[in-house]
Amino acid sequence: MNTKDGNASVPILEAHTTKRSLHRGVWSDLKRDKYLYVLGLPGIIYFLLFKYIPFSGLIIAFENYSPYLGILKSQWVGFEHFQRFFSNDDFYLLLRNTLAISLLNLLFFFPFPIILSLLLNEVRNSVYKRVIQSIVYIPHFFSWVIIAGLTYLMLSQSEGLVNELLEVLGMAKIGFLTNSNSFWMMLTAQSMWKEAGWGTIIFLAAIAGVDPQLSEAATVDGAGRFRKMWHITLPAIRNIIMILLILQLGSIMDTGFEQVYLMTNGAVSEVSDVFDTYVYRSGIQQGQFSYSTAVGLFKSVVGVALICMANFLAKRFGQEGVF
Amino acid sequence: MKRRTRLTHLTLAVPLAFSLVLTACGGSDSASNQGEGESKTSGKPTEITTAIMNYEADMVGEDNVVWKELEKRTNTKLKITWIPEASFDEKLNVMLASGDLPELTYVESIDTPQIRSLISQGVFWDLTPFIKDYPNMNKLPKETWSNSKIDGKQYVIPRYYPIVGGGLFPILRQDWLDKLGLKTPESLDDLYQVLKAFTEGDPDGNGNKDTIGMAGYLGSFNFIFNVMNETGGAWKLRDGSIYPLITEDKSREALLYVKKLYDEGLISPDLAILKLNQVLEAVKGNKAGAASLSMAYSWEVTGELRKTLPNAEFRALPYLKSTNDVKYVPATGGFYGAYLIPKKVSESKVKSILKFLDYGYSQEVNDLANYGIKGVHYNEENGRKISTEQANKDLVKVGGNLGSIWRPLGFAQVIDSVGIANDVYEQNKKTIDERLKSYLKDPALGVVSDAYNKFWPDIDKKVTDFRVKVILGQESIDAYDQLIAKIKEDANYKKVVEEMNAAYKQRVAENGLGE
Amino acid sequence: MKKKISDHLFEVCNIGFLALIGLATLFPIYYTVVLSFMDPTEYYQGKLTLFPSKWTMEAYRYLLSTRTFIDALSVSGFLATVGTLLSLTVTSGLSYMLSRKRLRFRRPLMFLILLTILFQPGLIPSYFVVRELGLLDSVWSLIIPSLTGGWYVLLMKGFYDSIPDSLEEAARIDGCNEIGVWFKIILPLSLPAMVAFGLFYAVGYWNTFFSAVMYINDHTKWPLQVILRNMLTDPTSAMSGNGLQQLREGAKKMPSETLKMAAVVVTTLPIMLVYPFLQKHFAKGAMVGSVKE
Repeated sequence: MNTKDGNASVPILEAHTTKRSLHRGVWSDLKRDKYLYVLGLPGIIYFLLFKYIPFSGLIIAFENYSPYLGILKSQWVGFEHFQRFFSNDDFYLLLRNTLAISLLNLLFFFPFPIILSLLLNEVRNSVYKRVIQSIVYIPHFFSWVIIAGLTYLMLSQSEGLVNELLEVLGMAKIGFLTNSNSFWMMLTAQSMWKEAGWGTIIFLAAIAGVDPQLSEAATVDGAGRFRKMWHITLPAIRNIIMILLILQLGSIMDTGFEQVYLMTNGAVSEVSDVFDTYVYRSGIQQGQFSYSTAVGLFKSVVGVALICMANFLAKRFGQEGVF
Repeated sequence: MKRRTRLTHLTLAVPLAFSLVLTACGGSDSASNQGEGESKTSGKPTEITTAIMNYEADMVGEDNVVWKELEKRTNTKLKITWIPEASFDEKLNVMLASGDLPELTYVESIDTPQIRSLISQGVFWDLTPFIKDYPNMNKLPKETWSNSKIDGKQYVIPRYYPIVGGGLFPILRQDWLDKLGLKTPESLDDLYQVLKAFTEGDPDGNGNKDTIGMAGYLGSFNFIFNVMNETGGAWKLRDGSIYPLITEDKSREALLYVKKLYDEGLISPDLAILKLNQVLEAVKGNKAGAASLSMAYSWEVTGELRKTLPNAEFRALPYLKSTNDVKYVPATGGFYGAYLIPKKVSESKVKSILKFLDYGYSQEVNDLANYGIKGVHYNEENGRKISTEQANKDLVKVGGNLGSIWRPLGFAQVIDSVGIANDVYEQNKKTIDERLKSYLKDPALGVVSDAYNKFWPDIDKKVTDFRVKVILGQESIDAYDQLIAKIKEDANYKKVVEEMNAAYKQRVAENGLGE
Repeated sequence: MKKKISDHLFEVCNIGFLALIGLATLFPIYYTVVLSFMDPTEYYQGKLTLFPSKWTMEAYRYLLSTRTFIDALSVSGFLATVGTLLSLTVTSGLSYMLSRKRLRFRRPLMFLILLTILFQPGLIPSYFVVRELGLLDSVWSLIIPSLTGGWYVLLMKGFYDSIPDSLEEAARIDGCNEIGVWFKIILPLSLPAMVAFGLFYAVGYWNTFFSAVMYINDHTKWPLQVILRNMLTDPTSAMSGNGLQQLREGAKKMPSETLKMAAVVVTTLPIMLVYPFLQKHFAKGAMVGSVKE
């Protein structure tokens, strides 16, 4: 701290001193915050051990990995796997499907829990509010296998409840699950059904943090319901929304493997094949470790690029950003 | 160029040094801590580690009576990891890729690229020289052995499975046939007539048209492709070369046949999304007169139906004939799953492990694993084993739990079931005799190639998906013809066919003509 | 006056809309529960049964009598309690550290953590780490490798960001170091957030599936989801000429639909019941935001 006064006076030595003071500054800063570091240490060790060390395994994307030669002795092939992937006829199909599903998610699935929380927050009757809340969060506890099963029970052509209902009403049955036009929308609807209620938890926790006095003061000032929502409630959760939005953008290449895998069938495969199902087929089912790692790596790189961009834009517009 | 590669390796070496250490430790540990040697004497029990797929939901542990009895009789200490069917692929992949192979490594298929490449790298013992010393194993059918050879050598001990009785093939409602005055179908034309009558002739007699001919998903109708092409498996042998079924002209006919069934409402309307369980529901619920299932199901569905309809009976078809009167019924290679022993296991231990496997192929130990202890878990009546209530309590399951190590010898697993009615059992026996005379071999059994592993799954998927669309009417048969024409010109396709034929010829030379 | 009417209208619409969403959510769940109580034979024959003629507990009785199921229930229970507490401690410590703006290397650390969200380390390298730590076949292998995650750290840091340094300084004057501050002031202050994250973790642990398949060999140490998955997954494949698949389909005996649904209910109910107990904390006062000056 006292070095700050020192280096302003001697301009010639400035560069040198700054460097030294930086060093000393780092050391004293570290020392000052030692307990803070101790607090974060278990987490840091965790990330090193379970994330960064295993990352070295990504090298196999540039090799022909063979388990019995090990990572080091396997044949080095450079970008061969990437070339094979990009020159694959299906690459554009996979890209199109992945992006379409992600964008639909971003458009409908992402804002839904926010709207739901705002609406729930407006309910005056606390019993009703709690009942609804307790109902909508339930589907989150179902794994995709269960959800897929329920979807078949509801929508299948021969015995789906919805189709039975259509029949009773004298309408023709609809093959919801084999229609490639509505497949993406069906996935989005599934995701909304499963996760919307759960998504509200985090927003409602943040909304609960709003000082009730603020809202009362606004009412006294004559602010209407929507203005209060806009000016008081929304800003309270803006930070969280931003973080989630940036992360969502970064995961645009991920489409939730299990959901797509369980819902796909021959009639819709043209619109349902995504990077994740492709990685599973080539990696787990066909044992092409290196190739599937290369595809995964490509996905991650795109994700990083998108997140950096989103973060930059967020900051540009005066928001917090993630890092 | 060379220099640069080495440099790259060097820079990589630093972060990777650790993973190297890891892989280096991986291979040895499970071999070293086993009591090796002196397992020939009946003194100390041999400890055997293995990981096997188990279909049961409720899995058996080492405190189980049958488990203990099995250890006692084989003089072993078993360390078994059960792998549930739902996660088998993932688990096996981790074991193979990490090198953590159990002493007795179970694989479901010996034709996967991972297994083949590990074998060619010398990871597993060549067991050919040992096998002759084990009398019970030698009693297994000849096909079981010849079909499980790789490069002319016996790297694997096959897990026995009857050659016929498994596979997807129609089972039909016999009581409906009788009621409608129809004969058991022999050709696809007959089958069509039967399915039509099942749909339109009100076989359940309730006055409503609420039944369908056959419940099934796309894979259920594969037999039609085989019947028309007059071959087993997915390849057709013509003039000494093999050709993939999907591009054969007869497959187009088969596809049109299925489409006809679909268009006339004789089969499940949502065949594109149906699962095994829904097919079972349809036949158990008296809604469909046929399904394409393994013979073992004939009692399961009949038994369920007889709770409300005492005369109901599902009977497995013995065969179907093509227009040239060639009979077809699906066949296996005489085994389902196989065991390998990694080289890290010492030779003397290999022998005791083989001894253990050999025990299981004796009738006595095989019965123990599958049916439990005589007098406790089952009683014998007229040469058949009738399970007791205790069998359920001790988790004794035919072909499951300890029965997953060795499935039952003979045909019991496809014709016999717990609680089966006598008439169904006798009928099953007759059907098996018929099927043994009628099955067709898969010419490409055990034939694999690099290009096949790399490209075939995608090509196959493309055609299979397109078939669905044609059946549902989303695509025309002309579009299908164009697709097949395009695939036949595809470089990857050609490479696969070429490599597969080379491999096929080599296999024929090594194993004799797979006859 | 005009405002009042539009206000009422909004209220009615809102309540109606939420009721609709509630019903849409509830219906399939209701159906699941009904199926689990149905007699299998009635299920096979019934068409569109929304109310079975005979209720039976048979499926539940069978499930709860199997040892595998009971073992799994206790493993999942252990994970959801012990795992959640450990995870909250580690995540909260790290997030609090990162939320202090004076911290050196804060941004690079944040970025490095963010990267872990995007890059999935390979299956096999992760397996090696777990193996070298000697965790294979131990329930700890289901907790330690998933103790925290970049996503949770970033979110929780978002919550802590709003806690001013001044609060901490006040406590430090009283002789607390940062660990003391964190434990005595920050944790109680962020209780609603903690409860929310605790629930996230608990559910995550309860649904442990893949790591159990990878790391656990002893079937008595499997969590519930492995058992459930095993019952629900169907071996059906559409691929042409896949002989192996055909054998699997022939060999596997599928449990009845009623049994499957009962398993769904039994595996979901315990964790679902946690929520109502925690719900009141979400709505309670004493929030992070209120300490803002």
